[in-house]
Amino acid sequence: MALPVFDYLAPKSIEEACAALQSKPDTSKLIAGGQSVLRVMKFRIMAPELLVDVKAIPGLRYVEEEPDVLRIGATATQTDVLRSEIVRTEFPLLFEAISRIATTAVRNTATIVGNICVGHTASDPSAALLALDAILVVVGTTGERVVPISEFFVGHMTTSLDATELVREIRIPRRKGNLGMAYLAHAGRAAMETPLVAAGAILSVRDGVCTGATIALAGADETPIRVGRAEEALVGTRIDDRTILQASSIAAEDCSPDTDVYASGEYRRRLVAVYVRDALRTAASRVQ
Amino acid sequence: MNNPTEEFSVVGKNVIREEGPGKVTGFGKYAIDIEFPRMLWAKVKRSTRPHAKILNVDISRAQALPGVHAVVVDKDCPQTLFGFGCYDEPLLARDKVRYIGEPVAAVAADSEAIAEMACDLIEVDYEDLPAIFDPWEAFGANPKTLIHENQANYRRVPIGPVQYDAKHPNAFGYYRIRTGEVSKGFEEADAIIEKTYSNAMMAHATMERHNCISHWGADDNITVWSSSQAAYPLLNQISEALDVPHSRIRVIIPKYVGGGFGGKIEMKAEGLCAVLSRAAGYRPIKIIYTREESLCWAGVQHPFEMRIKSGVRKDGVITACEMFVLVNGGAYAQHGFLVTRQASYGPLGSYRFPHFKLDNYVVYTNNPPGVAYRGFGNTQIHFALESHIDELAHAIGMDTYEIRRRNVLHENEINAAGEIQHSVAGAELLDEIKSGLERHGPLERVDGPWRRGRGIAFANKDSVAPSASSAIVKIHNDETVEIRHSAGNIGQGSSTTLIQIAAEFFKVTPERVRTAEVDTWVTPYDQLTGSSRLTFAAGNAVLMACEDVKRQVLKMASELMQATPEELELADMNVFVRDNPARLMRVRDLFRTVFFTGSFLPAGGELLGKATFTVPSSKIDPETGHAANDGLRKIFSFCTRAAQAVEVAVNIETGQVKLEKIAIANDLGKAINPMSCEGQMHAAISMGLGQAISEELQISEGSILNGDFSSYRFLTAKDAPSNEYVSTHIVEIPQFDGPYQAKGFSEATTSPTAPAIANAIFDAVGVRLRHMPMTPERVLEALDQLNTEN
Repeated sequence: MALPVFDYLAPKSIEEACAALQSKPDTSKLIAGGQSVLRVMKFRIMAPELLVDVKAIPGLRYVEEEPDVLRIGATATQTDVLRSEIVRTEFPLLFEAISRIATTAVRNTATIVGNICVGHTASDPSAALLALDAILVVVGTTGERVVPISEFFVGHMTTSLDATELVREIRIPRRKGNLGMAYLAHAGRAAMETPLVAAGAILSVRDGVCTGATIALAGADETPIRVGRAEEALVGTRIDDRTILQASSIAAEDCSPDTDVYASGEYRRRLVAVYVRDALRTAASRVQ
Repeated sequence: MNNPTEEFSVVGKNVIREEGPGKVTGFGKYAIDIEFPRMLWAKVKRSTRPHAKILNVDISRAQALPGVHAVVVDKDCPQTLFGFGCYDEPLLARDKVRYIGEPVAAVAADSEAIAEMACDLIEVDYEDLPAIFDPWEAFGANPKTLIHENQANYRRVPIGPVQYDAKHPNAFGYYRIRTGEVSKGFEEADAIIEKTYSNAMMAHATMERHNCISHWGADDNITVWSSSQAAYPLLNQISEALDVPHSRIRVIIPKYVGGGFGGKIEMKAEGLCAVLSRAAGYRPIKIIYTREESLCWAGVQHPFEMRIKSGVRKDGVITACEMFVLVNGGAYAQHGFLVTRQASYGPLGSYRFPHFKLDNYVVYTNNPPGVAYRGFGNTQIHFALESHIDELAHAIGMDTYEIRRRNVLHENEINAAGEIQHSVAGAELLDEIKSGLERHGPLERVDGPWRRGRGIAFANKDSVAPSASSAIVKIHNDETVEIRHSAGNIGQGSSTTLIQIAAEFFKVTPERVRTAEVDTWVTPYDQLTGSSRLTFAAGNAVLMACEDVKRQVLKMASELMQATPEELELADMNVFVRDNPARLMRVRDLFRTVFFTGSFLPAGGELLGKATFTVPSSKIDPETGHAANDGLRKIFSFCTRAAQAVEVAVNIETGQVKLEKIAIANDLGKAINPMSCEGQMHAAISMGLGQAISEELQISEGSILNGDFSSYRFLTAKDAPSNEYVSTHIVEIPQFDGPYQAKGFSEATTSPTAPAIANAIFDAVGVRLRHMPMTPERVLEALDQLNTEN
C-alpha cells in the first residue's frame, strides 16, 4: 500500500529531535534509514502523524574503534558497519549477522540503530549485539543514560526506549583472549528475508576448557534472547560434540518461538537446536 | 509454410530484444508510468467477509471528503454480468459478497491517499452467510450454501458436457474424457497405484502490478490504457460489462508490460474505472493495485485435488489410467472452466493410455477467484502425473527414464482423445536431459544433513484452438518495416520473434523492422498473449501479411520494370527480375513526389499488407472429449513438450530443499531466437522452483495471510542454481504449419520442475511429497513420519 499521510521533520540536532518527539509523544516516530518504519507504515501496523528523521543530524554517522570499545553512531548504515575492518576481523559474528540482512540496496540505507529500535525478534543485529553484550547510549530530553542491550528488548516490537528518547550510540566491548564467535541464520529464501531463527555464539576457551559461553537467538521468542541455561551448561566443560548437543537441546527447550505465516513455532524450535549446534561448532572451530 | 532447407539470415539468430534498450535505460514506459492532465486516482473498497448479504452501503461520508469526485456502488454500474465464457460477475458486488477482497464500492479522488481515506469512510453493513472454502465441501449434492444461487440461468459458452448439474450445484465447470474401458486395463496390469496429489494456491507475482487508466470521453468513446496481456479479450469484456459496443472502446497496451503469466488476461478494474470516469465528469481515472490486491484479488492459481489410479505392466507399459480432479475455482468462474478443460487433456499429450477415464470438476468456493496461470492447469496436472509415473516405476522396479520412454507418444500417433500428434518430442527430450545432467558429473551421495538425489519429469502444453491472429505489415518510404499486431509483448520477447520472422521474409536486418504499440483502433485482432501461441499464431499472421505486402510491391514494380509480377522477386528491399537480377529497383523508388510535395505512392495509399491466420479445430464429442475423425483430428493448435532432470540437496534436519543442478529440454519446432528461448528456460527455473518449494498464498477462512512480498516467498536469483550447473537444450522437431516451422513453448518449461524436484526428493531421502509447494516443514513432517514408520 501507499504510505499514509504524515508530517516529516529533519532536525539538525539531537535536542531538536527529542523536542520534536516530546511535542507528539504518542504519535511521533523516529526514522533513520526508514527501512523498517516505512514498511510497517505501509502495512498500516503503525500510523505516526510525525516522522522525525535523524539522518540530517551531523556527527552521528561513524564506526569508530577505541582501545576497549567499538562505537557505532545512530546514523551509521549497515554498509558502513560492514566496511569497518575491525568488525570484519574482531567481530565476525556481527559481520555475519549484518551481511545477510535483506539486500545491498537496503543495507546502504538502513542503520543498525534503527533496526534494533524496531524491537523485532527476528532482527539479526539485535541478536548479534545481544551476544556481544553491547551497551546503548540513550538520549532524552532530560539527558543521557546507558542501557545494557540485555535490558533493551521488553516485548513484541517493544523496547525500553521512552517515546522521547533516541539511541545515540552503540558501544561494543572489545574482547581479549582465546575466543571464537559465529552467527548463523536460517531463512526461507536466500535473500530478502528476515531469519526464521538465528543463533549467535561466542566461546572462550582456556586449556581446552570453556571459560565463557554466550548464545543469543533471534526469532526464537517474543524478543531476541540469550539462553542462559544453555550458556551455563557449557562453562567449565570441554567443548565437544556431546556438550554442544546438550547446550543446543537446552536452548531449544528454553526458547518459546511464535507461529506466524513464515513458520510454525515448532519448526522454529527445531531450527534452534540445529542452528545453536552449528553456531557453537563454528565458534569452537574459530577459537584462537 | 516455407522451405525447411533454406539458409536463414535472421531466423535462428540471437537478436537483441526490441524492448531491451528501453528496459535497461529506464526509458521504456509501462502503463503504470502513464499520467494525464485532469487525471483522478481510484481505489476499491473491498469486502471483508467471505460470504455475506449486503444490507447497506453508506457512501455519504466518503462523498463529503474534500478531494473526492465520485463514489460508485453496484446501482451506479450497468446491471450486467461479465465473465470469460461463464457470465457470473458484476463490476461491483450485487446484493452479496462472495469472497474477502471482492470490490463493493469504488472512489475517484484527487490523490491515491484521499481515495484510500474515502474508502475507509465507506460503511458496509453485512449479514453473514455460511461460507465454503473446501472444494470437497462445495462439491456435494447438498452443500451448506450456494455461492451462485442463480447459476442455472447464467449465460455461458457451450463447451464439453452439460456445465451446470443440479447434483453439484456449486460446480460451474465439468470436463470428462473416456477412452476404452479402464476396468479392462486394470485387469491387464501387474501393479496398480492409486494416490492423490494436490497443490496450494499461488500468485502470479508480476513485477508490474495490475493497473490501468480508463477515460470515458465526452464523445462517449471509452479509451483504456492497461498493463493487460490480452487487448481484444479486454475490449470485449469491457464491452459486455458496460453494455457498450466494441466500436466505442479503444484499448491501448504500452509496449512495456511487466509480466503477465496468465494473471492479466481478464478485465480487472478497467470497466469499473470507466464507470468512475463518467461519474467524475469524464476525467481519466487511474488505478494501481496495491501489491496485496495484485497478489490476492487479481486472480490466483487454482488449487487442484488430483486422484490418479493407474495400472502398469511389468514391462513398463501403462494399461489404464483413471483420474478424478477437483479444482477450487473460488468465487467467480473467470478462466476456471477453461483451465479445467485444458488440464484434462494434459496427460494425453505426454503418454499413450489404452484405457483412460477422467472426470474434472471446478467448483465455486468463497476463496478469491482463480484465473489462468502459466500452463493453464498443466502445472498442477503434470505435478501429479509425473510424481505418479515415478511411483509406477518404483512399483515395478523400473528406471524412471525407461518407463517414460515406453509410454511417450510418437510422431503422428493418435492420442487417447483421438487427436493426431505432430512435432512430437519424447525420447529426444529424455535423452537430452539425461546426458545434460550427466555432464554436470555423477551423483555423489553423502552422509550428513544434506542428502542428494536426482529426479526427472516430462510435461507438455497444448496451445488453444480454435485460434486466430491478424497482422498488418507496412513498408515505409525509407523501407522500414512496421508490424502492427495486438499480441502484446509481456516480457517473453514476442515482438523480437515477430521482427525476426518479418526480417527473414524480406531479407533485411532486424533493425529495419519494428512493432507498433498495441492499440485496438490501429492494430488488428489477436486472440491473446497466452497459451504460448504468439510465435505460432501471430508469427504465421505476420508472414502472411508480409506475403500480402510483397504482392503489392511486385505488382507496382512490374509496371515500372516492364516485367510481370511473377517474374519478379523481392529481397533486401530490392525488386529484381528473377532470371536477370541485374534488372532491379529499390522499394523506396516506388515512392514519388506526386501530390505537389513529399514522398508517396503515385496512386496514393500505403504499402500495407494484411492477413489473418486461423487455426480450426475438430468437433469435440462432449461425452468422450474426443476429436471427431474428420480428417483434421485437431483439438489444439499444437503441443509443445518439455523434460527436466534435476539434482537436489535435501536437509534432513531442516527440511530445506536446494536445487543444485538442472538440465532443461524443450521442444519448440524451430528456435527463432535461441538466446531468447534460453532466457525463457532460465527464467522459468525460478518460477518452477518457487512453485515446487516455497510459493503459497496461505489462506484461512477465505482470508489470505501473506499478501506481500516478504511473506509470499517467490524466490530470488540467489536461490537459483549456479549457472554452471544449468544446461538448456533446444530440441527442434519441425512444426509443419508453424512460421519457419516454429511453435511456442514457454508455458511447458515451468511444468516439469516441481515434479522433477518431488522425484529427486524421493531419491534423496525416500519420502514422497504429494502436495506442493514442498516447503521445509512439509518435507520435515514427511521425514518424521518415515522415521516413525521405520
